[in-house]
Amino acid sequence: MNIGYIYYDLLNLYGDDGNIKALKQRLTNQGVKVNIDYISLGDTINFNNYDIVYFGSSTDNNLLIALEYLKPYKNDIKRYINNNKFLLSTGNSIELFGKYIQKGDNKIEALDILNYYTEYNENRIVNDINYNCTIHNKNIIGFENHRGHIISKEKNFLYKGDNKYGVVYNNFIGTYLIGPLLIRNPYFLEDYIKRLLNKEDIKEDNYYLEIESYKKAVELIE
Amino acid sequence: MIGTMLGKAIIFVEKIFKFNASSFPGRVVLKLFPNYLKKLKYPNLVIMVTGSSGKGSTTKYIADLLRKNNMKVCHNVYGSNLIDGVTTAIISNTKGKKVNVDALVLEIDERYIKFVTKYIRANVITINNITRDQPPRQGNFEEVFEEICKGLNTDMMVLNADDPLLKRFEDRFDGKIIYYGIDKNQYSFKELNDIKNTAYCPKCNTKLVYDYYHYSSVGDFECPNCDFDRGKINYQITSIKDNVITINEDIKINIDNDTLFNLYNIISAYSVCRTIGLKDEDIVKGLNADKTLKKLFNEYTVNKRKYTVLNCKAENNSTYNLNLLHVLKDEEKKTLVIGLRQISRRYNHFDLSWLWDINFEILKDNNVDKIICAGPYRYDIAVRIKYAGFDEKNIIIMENTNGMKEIIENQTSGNVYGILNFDYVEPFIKETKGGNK
Repeated sequence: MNIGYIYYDLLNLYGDDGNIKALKQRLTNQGVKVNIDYISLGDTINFNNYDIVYFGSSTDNNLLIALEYLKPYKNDIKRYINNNKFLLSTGNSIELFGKYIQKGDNKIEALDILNYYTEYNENRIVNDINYNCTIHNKNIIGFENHRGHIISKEKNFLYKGDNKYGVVYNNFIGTYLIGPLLIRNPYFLEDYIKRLLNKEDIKEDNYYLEIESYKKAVELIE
Repeated sequence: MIGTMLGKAIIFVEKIFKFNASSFPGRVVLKLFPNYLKKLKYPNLVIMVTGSSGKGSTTKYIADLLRKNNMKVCHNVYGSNLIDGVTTAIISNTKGKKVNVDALVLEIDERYIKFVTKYIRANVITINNITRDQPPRQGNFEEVFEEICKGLNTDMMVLNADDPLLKRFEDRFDGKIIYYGIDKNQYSFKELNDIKNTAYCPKCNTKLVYDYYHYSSVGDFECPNCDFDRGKINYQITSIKDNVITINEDIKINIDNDTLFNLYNIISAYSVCRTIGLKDEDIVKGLNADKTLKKLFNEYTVNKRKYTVLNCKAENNSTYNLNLLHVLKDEEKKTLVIGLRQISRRYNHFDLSWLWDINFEILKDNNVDKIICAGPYRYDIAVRIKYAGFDEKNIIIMENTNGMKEIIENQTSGNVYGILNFDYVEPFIKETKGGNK
């Protein structure tokens, strides 16, 4: 299985690398051979090569740099998502895939792949999150810390009920939750692995420490 | 002036009742007299220290050094670095409108420097680093950089040239910039798989290349595509040997802690004092074997096991990374204790992403016997250690420090390193020294 870690040295603000470590270890434990391409600005990206691509979070200025370098790949990324391939985007990188980013009077064209746009706030949005997830029906916990917010016409959200946060489209998952989402949510990771491998029954894996950490977080975040 | 009198009265009352509130008097005075700081007459020498880590130590180095050179110095108490704390320190040294000292040496929170320099012009602002630190409060290093840029009311800046992020002040500050750094030494790395805050040239987005690293993006960098590089260094540590550092291949200073963090603080203090016109011999006299860092660095022996306690700020991956590198200078067998109680004193959030920016991978294959993970976040720490490639069966999980001494003595071997948040330092020392002093 090939993983493309897009701009690993720019979109890396909040321990995002943990998600790559989680995928690598869990897939390896399933007997899958995992190859990770660490992609830098200016590298040629062949999206056809990947089964999963990952985008982490960055400073707001660095996100715009990443956006400029990704624009030539707009149609490739669109095709990739439409072909049901896996794309995970955490933190502010979700803003890349919408129509545009509005910062005050400045409107910046984004990749225009999904049906939402971003508006920047004067104040940062800082929250601990603990919501029931539409994908695996258990709670997802985590932390968000961002200035932009998404205004979406997409039909599918990551969370249930009134918490219309996150965007789900085919196997695209985008969320403002930062950092090692897949590490902190072992049940979500297990489900993700099943869907990646397209198997209901996968080899049992040792998630003991992760589950203890998850249980503690669920308890702490009301 | 009424403000000064009121502030002093509160400080006096606090002393009688033995309160140790180092910012309350300032808060009251500023509430009643918002322009209080504007009306004072300041000494000719005003030095401000800001940035993410090392501010307290650097400030103390500079203040002690000036005092040893017979100057009367006002400096704020360690950590009381918001405007209230700064004001309190000033009030206690003010008569009427006159701040009655030869020098004002202030440690100022990186987000508050703009509020202080609104009223007080500095001669020198020095910045050691802008790192990942307290994300719920700070956002990120880019936002901190922008906040500091709003407060550059100073004649000069003294900056760490080894950090490409700080070089960007050149575009935002018109005054004179003096640079310091640490040259290649036995603690430099050819490759360092550490998270970088600045991987690309801020001018042309080309990936920076490094001759060596000290931590994160700090080291000797240059852009292969344009003229952006570490540039000319005014004051540089050119060698580190047997607790003596050499500056510019000439000046020698005795130190008692050769962690790179401490050395960056020392070279920063040295450079500031040179910049304001002190003579080398007077600086050396002042810095030789300063005991400032003792608080952050504690060593003792219990039952033939050597203990080293390293104080690490949660949410700050750089201090952890530097402390891990320090631990690995010891090639003997060792056991690590990693613990924290509260992520922050200031807010109640449960962000643990910073644990994943710490390069625990370097512990693998480096003669580490056991790692004890302690405190409310013990499982989060343990998960991180596990994914760093450390065998799960060598990880010991403890709810707190109770009984830790017995566990260390019976289940672990080698020198013991406590890599601890400020709120775990005392409990750990008390537990491990208990009964066997």
